[in-house]
Amino acid sequence: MRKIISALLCAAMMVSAAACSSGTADTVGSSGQGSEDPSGASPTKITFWYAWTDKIQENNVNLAKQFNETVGKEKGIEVDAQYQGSYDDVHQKLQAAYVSGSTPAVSVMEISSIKRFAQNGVIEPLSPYIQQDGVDMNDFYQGLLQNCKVGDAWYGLPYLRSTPILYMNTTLLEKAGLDPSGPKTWEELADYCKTIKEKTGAYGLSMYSYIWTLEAFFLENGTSVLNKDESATNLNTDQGKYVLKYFRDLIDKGDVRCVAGADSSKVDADYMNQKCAMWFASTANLSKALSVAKQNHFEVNICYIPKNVQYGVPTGGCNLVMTTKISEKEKKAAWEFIKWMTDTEQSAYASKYTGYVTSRKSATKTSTIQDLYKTTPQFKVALDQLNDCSVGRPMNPGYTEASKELVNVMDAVWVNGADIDSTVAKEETKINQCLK
Amino acid sequence: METNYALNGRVRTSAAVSKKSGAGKAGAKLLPYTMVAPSIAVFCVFILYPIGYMIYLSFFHWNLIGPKTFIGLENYLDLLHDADFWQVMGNSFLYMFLMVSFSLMIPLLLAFTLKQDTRLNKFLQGVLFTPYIVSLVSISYVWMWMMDSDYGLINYLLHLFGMSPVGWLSDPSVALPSLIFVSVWKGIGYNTIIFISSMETIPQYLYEAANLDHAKKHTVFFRITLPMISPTIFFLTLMNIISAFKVFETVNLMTQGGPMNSTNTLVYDIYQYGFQFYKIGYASAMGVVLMGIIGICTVLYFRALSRRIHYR
Repeated sequence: MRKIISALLCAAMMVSAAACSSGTADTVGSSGQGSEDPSGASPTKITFWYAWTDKIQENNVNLAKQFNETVGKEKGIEVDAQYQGSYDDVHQKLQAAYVSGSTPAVSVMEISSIKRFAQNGVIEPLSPYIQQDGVDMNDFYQGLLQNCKVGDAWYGLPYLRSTPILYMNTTLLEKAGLDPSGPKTWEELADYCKTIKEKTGAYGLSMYSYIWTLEAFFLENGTSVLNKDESATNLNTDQGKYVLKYFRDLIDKGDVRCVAGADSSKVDADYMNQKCAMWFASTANLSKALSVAKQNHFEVNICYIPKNVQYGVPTGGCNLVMTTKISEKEKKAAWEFIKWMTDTEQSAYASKYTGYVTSRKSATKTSTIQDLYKTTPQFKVALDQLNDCSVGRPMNPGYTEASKELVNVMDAVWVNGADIDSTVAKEETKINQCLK
Repeated sequence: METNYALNGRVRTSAAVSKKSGAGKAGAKLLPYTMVAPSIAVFCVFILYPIGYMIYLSFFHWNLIGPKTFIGLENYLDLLHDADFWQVMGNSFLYMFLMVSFSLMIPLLLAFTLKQDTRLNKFLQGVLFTPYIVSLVSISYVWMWMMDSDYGLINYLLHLFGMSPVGWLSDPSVALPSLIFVSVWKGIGYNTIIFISSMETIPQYLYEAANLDHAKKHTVFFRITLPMISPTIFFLTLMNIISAFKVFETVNLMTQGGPMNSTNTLVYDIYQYGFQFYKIGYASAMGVVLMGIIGICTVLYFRALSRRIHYR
């Protein structure tokens, strides 16, 4: 009965993963091959999994190669960098690999997933290594570290990280007679949007139902999407509802346009075609936005996401983690690699190559970043925002599901004109259910 | 697919029987079982075992990497009380009903008009069949562009005629019909060809007799064509019901179940719970429900219609 295959699409995959576990749980895994040589003449081979293609891929491959040629050569370590798809793909494969006992020694991991993997024993606490080698954790930006810690232990080191930020088409702003340094508060943001719409006809702001910017809005309004112990949402509070209402009013007036979460590419189309003057995006998009602007003959600047009560943005991106089911020798090799990858020079290199922010304060003093500041002063704004007001993301394992519900709330209220109070009341229960 | 298996079984048995009566060896008795053993083994490993394991998992709380906790029927009870799940069920049934209706009725009429063996008809058949051979991924992207609410071709045409734009994929009340449209459009060619080839096997003398009796065109259609191709209709209905419940690619690529869950269907929901939210037990429970629905549909359909079908 092939029809049943459909019903079992998932089950079959799970089973295959589970079935392997019973058979091969004892083996060290693919990354273990080649490390058996007792003489130490052949290098310890470890695998490194990364996500995304293009510049990010090149950066990962280049760094792994540099490592192999320098520190790796010296200490007998050889890193094999392997592309695995998106963050979700990496996470899914990592789970399957864990069950079957063939995990890579080092992997990137999206920051909000750290807790789930740590709680289930997939990733190794790094605290002993950090202590042993005296890594200066204070050199990392504080906002990046919250998502590296589960309980009191470090489980990852910040790697390719970013924050959302407000992008502006300053050519349009100047056309509307506005200060190109951007709005500072929500009041100013509303004025900016109104003026831009009146003077230029373009939308003041184009946005989509995006969980990351919603987190930022809640922070800017002096609250957060989830409460302190991440057991419930702050959506159905006055501060939470005000976030929805503030943007809803701007959307209703026609000054701001918001599209559904599934339509995120429209925001890109809007800014590229100069149909909007401002938009929210990751700091990692800066290089791309600048080159698009150059091709289309307009200027781009960035500024902090405006505040209502206080400044605040969530961080994003990925950390480097080490897995548990590998030999001691491989763990040592993995640590050397993680330590090197997140060190000052490499952090600066990755930042310049990909557009992610540097994760280390000391990296800003390197010539790489100083040169970058000169050619692209906007990078400094991104780093200042990171330094001044960034915080971590929620790490509750149920947050992925809760995020989907939150996107539904934004779609309902901002895109489809649903009533705020009743939508929020209905969704609050569902979201809290997800977080249990 | 059940029919296929049954058919294969029958063919193999009859072959074996003739061999046995011919050779008369006792060992030949085992031969048929040896011959089907590989396919039975594959069936057990990749279908029966996963079904059993899925049912087993549906009684557990499991995130794929942590320990499994037995929770009895809790996943099923949660499903019953989950408003989203009922919306998903509603979407799936609506999708199934509309898709099956349209992807049978339109091809039936097309086949009836295109069955004459002319050059134009051959060309039109080819045109209709093209979407079927294109990958669903490409089709999804093409339609995503055409259905785009700002830059899409369809809204541009509407604009030329002075009509207001429609959020084909972003309006919760339109998104599901849009997805149904894409699936129907893709499947029309295949169904038409099947209908045509089935119509071509109808003995010509029936039409000649009808002609002599001056039977009207619709009488010929309802009294001769339709009954004679009823096995094909039956087959396609069942296949379309099954594929409608299995819909995943278009949902995943075009809407991701949104906006506001309006295009979320069973298989996509199972995928989300299983591999995005890592609630394996809950996803398995949904899988069991889906299996039940498809099973019930199949049984009901065979019972209700198999007697009325004209097998030759």
